[in-house]
Amino acid sequence: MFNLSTVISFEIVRALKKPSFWAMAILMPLMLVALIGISGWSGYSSNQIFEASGSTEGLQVALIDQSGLIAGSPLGEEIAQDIEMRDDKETSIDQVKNGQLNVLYVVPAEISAKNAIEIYTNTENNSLFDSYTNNIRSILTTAAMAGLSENQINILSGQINVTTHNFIEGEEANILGKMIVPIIGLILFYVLICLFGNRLMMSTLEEKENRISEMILTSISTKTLIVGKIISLIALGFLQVLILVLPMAILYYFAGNASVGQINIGDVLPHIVFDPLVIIYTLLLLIASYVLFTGLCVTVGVLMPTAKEASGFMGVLMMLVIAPFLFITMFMAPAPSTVVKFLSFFPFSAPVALSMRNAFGTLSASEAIIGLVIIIVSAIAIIALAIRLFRKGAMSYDSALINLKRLFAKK
Amino acid sequence: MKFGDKEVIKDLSFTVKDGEIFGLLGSNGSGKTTTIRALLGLYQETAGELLINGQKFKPDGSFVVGYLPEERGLYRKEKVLDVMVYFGRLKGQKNPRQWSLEYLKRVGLEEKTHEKIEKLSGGQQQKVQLGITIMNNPKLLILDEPTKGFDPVNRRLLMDIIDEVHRKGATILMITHYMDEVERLCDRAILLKDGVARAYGKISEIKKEFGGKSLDEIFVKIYGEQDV
Repeated sequence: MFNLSTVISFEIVRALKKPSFWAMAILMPLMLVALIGISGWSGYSSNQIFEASGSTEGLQVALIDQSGLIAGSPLGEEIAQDIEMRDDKETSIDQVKNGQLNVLYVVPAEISAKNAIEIYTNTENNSLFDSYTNNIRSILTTAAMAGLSENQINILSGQINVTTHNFIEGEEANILGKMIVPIIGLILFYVLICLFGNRLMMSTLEEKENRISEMILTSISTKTLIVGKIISLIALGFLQVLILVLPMAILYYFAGNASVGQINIGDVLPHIVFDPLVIIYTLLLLIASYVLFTGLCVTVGVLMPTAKEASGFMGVLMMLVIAPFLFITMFMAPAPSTVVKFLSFFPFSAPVALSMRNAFGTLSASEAIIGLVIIIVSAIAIIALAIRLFRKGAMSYDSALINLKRLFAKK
Repeated sequence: MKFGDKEVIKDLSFTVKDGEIFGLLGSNGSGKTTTIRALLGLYQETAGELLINGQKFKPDGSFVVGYLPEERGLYRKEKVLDVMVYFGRLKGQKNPRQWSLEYLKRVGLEEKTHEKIEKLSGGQQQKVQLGITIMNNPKLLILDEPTKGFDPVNRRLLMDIIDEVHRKGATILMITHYMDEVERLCDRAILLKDGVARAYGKISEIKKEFGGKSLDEIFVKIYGEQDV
């Protein structure tokens, strides 16, 4: 492989020199961080708004209790400290109308689905309606629960914590924790194909579109050129993985107390299962899948005369790659169906299918090995095909798919 | 040599001798570029053999060939020096950076060293491409219309550079439509029409065969004025 290192370094250096590479490489983790941040902030912010808007502090709030439930409750006096208890409905409504009163709750004599609890208010903020509704519900629940034991109150208010202990072959299994590593592998593969699909395809189209084929192929062999390009693209792909994984690792070690929405990361991280076998398999699957996808993109680039035509063809290929997502419910079933098995062993869909089954714990050891071997063999075959196609089709500057008869001709 | 059912080269046989400048002549579509591409393994020949130094060409550095193709093109988004250094390394040039800087200065492109290829004019790109072609001191230099589109001054400059490579011992196989270049530079030539050799030998012998006419006149006679 004369000059392989020259091709690899040229391809890597020129990619790294392009601002677009760094923009894409950094944009993805930034977007992930931003999404997590927005999710966390919006959860926090919603709580703050809810707490602020639901608070009756500083507001004139009155309650007419026709049921007698609140007034008769042991907590009635405590509730009455914040809310003025009244009897005259019409006068109170008039006071709401002229702004003397901010909120008026009217609880009917019989509380049922037919008899609505009325809320009168004069706010222009529609979002407060839910807050006031929750407020009166809370008051009624508090009144109704007064006198019950703490356990009864916890049960009725849904303050119950459930812990499941699942035993497989006599040992406690953490199914959710085991899913994390394969899912990270699947996400990385998906991110790689989304970010690099076009770059991979363009890597061989460039020689054709810019008419460099003759210059380059009389300087180095087709094999050196294609293998060099593929290795450089794999290296760039894994640099991207590093850029993605690094923030996750930092998060793992330093963000134990951070929370995403209602989930505390510090509570989740210790439950992730780092099984060496699963990590190695996920890594091998990711590498083999990415090499296969690289070979596919390079082949499409060789077959098509222009980027525009290649993009259409790539769309079809992408559909095959992500097809398993369409059958996700089938993949979750404990016994794999025929469709699941087919997608697991069909080379183009196997990367996503095997990752999903690995995550859901429905992949047997033998299936895992067979699937991986299929991907590796297909990757080697597709790269060999790409080399042959490039050698035969490099001069087809203007025509699309090259003649199959010529492609497989002995001479 | 066939493309589908169309036979583009028929019964063609010629030899280029070590150290000579050989002209491959013919009108557009006569099979000149196809012959060169087949010689360099870019096309698969359907019959016969095309050999360089007794062997099929392989771009493995075992026999140094410089080829300036008819289809001009370089990595458009890359800088001039980066592209030259890359090709220099691929071709085994020991100090491609230094060589490229000197060459660019010689052809008046020193100010374009760090420009992207796409910013250069067609003629400037052609000069860069010629530099890449000769930078590894080729033993065989194949030029497909090297001066096409050049003004007389730059045409002279390029021919001087090519002549210099020849004086260093390179064999030159040149495709051109300029018959004055052929008469001035070439030792021998072959003239193709529809993939068939119509004249072959020393320039003086070809002229003699056609009654002492100039190469221009011979070209017109073979193709007929309406075809030229």
